Amino acid sequence: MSRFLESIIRFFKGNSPAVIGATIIGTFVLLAVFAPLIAPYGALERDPIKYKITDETLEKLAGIEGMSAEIEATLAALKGHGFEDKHEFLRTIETQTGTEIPLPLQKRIAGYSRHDPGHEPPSRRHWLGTTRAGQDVLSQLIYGARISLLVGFGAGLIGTVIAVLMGVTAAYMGGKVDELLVFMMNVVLVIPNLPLILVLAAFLGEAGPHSIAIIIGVTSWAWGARVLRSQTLSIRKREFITAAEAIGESKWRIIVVEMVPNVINLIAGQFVGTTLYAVLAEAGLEFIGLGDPSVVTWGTMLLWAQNNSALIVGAWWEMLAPAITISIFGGGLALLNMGMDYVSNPQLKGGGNMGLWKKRYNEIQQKRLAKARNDKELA
Amino acid sequence: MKHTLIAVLIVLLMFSIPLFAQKRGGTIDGPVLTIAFIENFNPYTQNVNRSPAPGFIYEPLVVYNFRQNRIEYRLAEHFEYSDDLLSITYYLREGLRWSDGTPLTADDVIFTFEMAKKFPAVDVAGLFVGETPKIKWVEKVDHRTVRFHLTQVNTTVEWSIPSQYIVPKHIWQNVENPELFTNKHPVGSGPFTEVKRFSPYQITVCRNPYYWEEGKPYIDCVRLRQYQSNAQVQAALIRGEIDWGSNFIPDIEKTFVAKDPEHNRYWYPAGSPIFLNLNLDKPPLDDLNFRQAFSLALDRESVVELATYGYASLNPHITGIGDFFAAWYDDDVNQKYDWLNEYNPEKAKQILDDAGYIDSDGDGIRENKDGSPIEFSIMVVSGWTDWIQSVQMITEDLKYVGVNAKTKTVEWGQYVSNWNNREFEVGMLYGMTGVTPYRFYAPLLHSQNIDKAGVFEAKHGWSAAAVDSLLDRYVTVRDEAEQRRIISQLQEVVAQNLMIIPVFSNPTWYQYTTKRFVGWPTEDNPYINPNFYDAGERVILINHLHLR
Amino acid sequence: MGFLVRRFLFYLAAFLVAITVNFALPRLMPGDPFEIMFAAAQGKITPEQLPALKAQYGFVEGPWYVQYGAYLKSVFTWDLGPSVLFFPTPVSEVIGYALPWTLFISGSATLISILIGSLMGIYAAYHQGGWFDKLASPTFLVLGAFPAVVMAMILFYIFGLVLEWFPISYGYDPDLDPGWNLTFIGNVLYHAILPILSMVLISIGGWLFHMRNSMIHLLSEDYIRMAVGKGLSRRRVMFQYAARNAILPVITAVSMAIAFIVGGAIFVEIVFNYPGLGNLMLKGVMVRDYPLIQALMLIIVICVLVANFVADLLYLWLDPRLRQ
Repeated sequence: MSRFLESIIRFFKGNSPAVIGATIIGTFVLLAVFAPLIAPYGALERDPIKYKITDETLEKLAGIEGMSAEIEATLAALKGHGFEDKHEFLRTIETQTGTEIPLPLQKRIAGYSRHDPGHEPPSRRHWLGTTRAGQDVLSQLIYGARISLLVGFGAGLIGTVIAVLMGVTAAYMGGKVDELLVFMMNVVLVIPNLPLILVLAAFLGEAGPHSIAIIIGVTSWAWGARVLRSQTLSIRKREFITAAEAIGESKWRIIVVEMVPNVINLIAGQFVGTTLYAVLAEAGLEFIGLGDPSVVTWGTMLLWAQNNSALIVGAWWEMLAPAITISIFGGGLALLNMGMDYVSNPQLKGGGNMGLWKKRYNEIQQKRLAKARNDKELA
Repeated sequence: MKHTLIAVLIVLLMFSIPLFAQKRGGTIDGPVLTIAFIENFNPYTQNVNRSPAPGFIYEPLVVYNFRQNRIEYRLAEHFEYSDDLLSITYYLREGLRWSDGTPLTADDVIFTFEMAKKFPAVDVAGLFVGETPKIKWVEKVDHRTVRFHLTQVNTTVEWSIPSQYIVPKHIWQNVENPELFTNKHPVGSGPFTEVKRFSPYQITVCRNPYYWEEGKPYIDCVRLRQYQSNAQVQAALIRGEIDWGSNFIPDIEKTFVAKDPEHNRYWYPAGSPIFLNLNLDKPPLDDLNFRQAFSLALDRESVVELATYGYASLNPHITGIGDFFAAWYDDDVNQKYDWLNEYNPEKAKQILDDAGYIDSDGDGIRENKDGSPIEFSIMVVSGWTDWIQSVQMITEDLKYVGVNAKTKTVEWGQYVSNWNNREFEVGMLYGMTGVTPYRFYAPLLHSQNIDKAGVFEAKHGWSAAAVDSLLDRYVTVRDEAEQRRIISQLQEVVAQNLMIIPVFSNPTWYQYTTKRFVGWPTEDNPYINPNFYDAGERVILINHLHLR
Repeated sequence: MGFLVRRFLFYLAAFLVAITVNFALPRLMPGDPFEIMFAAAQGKITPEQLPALKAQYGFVEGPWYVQYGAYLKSVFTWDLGPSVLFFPTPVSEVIGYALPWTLFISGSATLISILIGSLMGIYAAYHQGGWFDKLASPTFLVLGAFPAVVMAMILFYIFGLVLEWFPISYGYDPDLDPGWNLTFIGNVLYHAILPILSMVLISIGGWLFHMRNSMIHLLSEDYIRMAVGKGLSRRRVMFQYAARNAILPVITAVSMAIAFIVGGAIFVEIVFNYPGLGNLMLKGVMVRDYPLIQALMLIIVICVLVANFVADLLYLWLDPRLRQ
């Protein structure tokens, strides 16, 4: 266990992209898991309708059939006072006026004083504002993270499992099996993924988050499988594999116990990459209306924002909040991937051998200069 | 000399007064929702939604003007029934010409209908299909008079006949298969027949030099521009690229009107009634008590305000037809059933309690009488966001009275096959509009439609022989009082049985700008239903527009 | 030449697999595709008409292998039947209008982002750990995590609606006559700027990293060190020695990325109402215009295969080892 911890510490030490990336992803995972505890409102909870008498209400009601001076006085007195319940609102008017108000008039009073929730800019009550339906954007982001992350990680998992199975098996088995599997990988690679996903999502009829995750997972493993295969091939010839074979371990045991752990960093990379792709693809599909808009995800938030012309009516928060969230999450994944590259390829880190190279270069230049000066002097 | 000059001036003035009153010229721009135009001006295969052929290039015989409740005579100046109602005779106007100058006569009309008989694919009015075709034969009485002999009395045939566009015999008689004919250089009878420019993104059609109506159209050309979503039409309206729009535009006041309050306007009169269609084979939807509680549980006002931005109209009554057919409302029926149209969740709860739908296991959700959980989903097309939001709100309302319903968004193809196979519990659907509410009630209530693919309204499965005979009788009478009596009875049938739960009436989307052109129909001057995508209505509309 | 023949055989096999998938898709999905396709038109079409129409749309009755045979024949004769959406225009004609536009924007966007991305990658590698590397690399990384459609929406809103600097629809001003003249070409470029920009912005980061990483890898190789040791100029070492070899993996990546790029173009085209395949694809799947969708998948697969083949040829040209 301590060795495991040690290796984790080694991974993050001095690896700022990995640290930042992991922090971002971790935060999102926590938000998603504890959504009901963290989110200030429900995902679909709307701000209540308010009944409030304004000048406009009074203007519209003036001179309407059944209006009396008493009612008018009550209404004027109640101006600016908000009610959340229609019956309570009407009852208050009735008691304060002291007479019964005929039903048609009641209806009109209620109708003209009705205020529906709408786009509300970011405020103390709603840190990221509300949607046009009066839903809290922050809460939607937090609840949406549950589904979006699930789709992303789900698709990542499916894609990775297939990639590992295909890649490692191909490399280990070799021969005809290898040829066949490589052929499959290459074919899947040249079949354009997004159009296929689009067609599948549309044809399925009801493309909920689950089907989107599965579709993305089963269509995006080929690249990973190819990389894994070539990496495994290079391990295949190492001594410990030959040794395991010599003592008669089963093929599957060798694959699972001996080979897979040695390509674990690649597998993790494949997982992170597919997850990133899945999150983006999900958002795209849902945005153009191929998902299930009744489920709150980052993609459907974008869809609703677009539908409500959020940018055009000035409610930028409704569109930008999910857009930026997706790119932060995606950026986190990309940073994590970058960090993994650094570990398997230490020279990619900042400074590194380039510094050395530069230093040597400068030495050479200096020497040349010195030589030139020398030559000049000689001449 | 001087006198002549003055005389000339006076004459000029006399002629120019009408010209000043209604300025001629200009090219008007309108949107069309399609991926790309195709160079095909065949009025039978090209939908009115994406082609100028119906209405602009080909003029109808008559147009039914619902807003004014009158018949606008176009190519025909009059039509009449025989006494036995078994034939209808149309009289063409005098001096009609095709846009190439050839006279338009009864021969063209006869040719058109005979072609429809021969090629079912171009029988767009469905006059000759089925076991008992509506029309037996078409007779030429004289060169301006055509008589349609009906197979049996059916007073709705007069609505179908004008939707068959009359095409020129001298051109179409050489066409081998009219369905595949692309008619690239159309010869028509409408106000705009000359295709000036064609590209996949834009079609410009210009005035017909031989148009029958004196001095019309005022406008020189109509330019139809291609867009592929409401959002793009909205952007084009905001940028002033088009003069009218017929699309759903969120927050129109803020996004469109506010850009130019002086000129940018909209008017959203009530259109198709929208309702929930209930599959009465699925308990508990088979129980009238449950359906009544369902209706009472709905806060339709909130649905209209939030899901449709307040653009839809709240139906004042529960009879299915909405304000589009306001002239047909029946006070007696309404008085009896209006209570079902109220938002009254307390009453809904009470009805459910009384009927035995109680929460027996204490989870806050009611169960069926036998204790099994109530479960149904409301089907809606994915992408139709205003409907989706409506259904979401409806499920919340139902939850409030303890009924567990789910929103189920399905893709269009799935929606269609679910209706056809009756694989649904509840589905949101639009009803038909037309000359009279018969158009709405016939597909909804006639038992022959329950198994007919494509007629989604009837899929609730409710039927009654008495109602069938009412509907059958309707088409045999021409007496308006009698027709009204039948329609009233049909209204009562819906309110009484609630096989559908009316929700709201869809608006007719109509935005326009008076920046360049005026003469638009408005709420104060509703001379025609403001629909640019109806072959008949758009002829009337476009002929009223002129430069400001 | 063995290399090319092998690749070609592979492409042929891949093509066969792809069109088989294409054939199977609508048939595996729930519901009778024909029934759904004509749902909207029903009532108008009588039962007697159906068989004739079915044949016209390439739906052959019979067991699957008969249907498959008919399908293969239609693919290889390029007789794909009429589109439902555009009836009676043949599918091949509909696609013929749209394909050049998609090729144009996705091609330009790819070239531009590779060019700029790679140059930035070289620069970042050269000044590894410098301010540019520290600032630009993560910035483009995050931009690359924007969904294509959102990037397009934001550009659409800012430059199309608020500033009105660029057109928001069409491939060119429909009032112009298409032709090989400056006005028209200029207009086409003007209309393409925003769509291309949205694609470039999100894909540039990938190329930057690709180039940066392979450059760094190469710069530590012995022959580069030797070149430096010989005293060759920095520029010469960077471009003639390192970059040239770093391009090889980039080309592999391009051929892998092409399928992805075409996919990204779909979303961008939808936002900008660009006349490419994207809109056709979306509308096609919405109304289940099977002939159209199948033809679209077919043409996209062909494009990807051709692009891959071109990449192979380039590879052959750049890597002499393969020529033996």
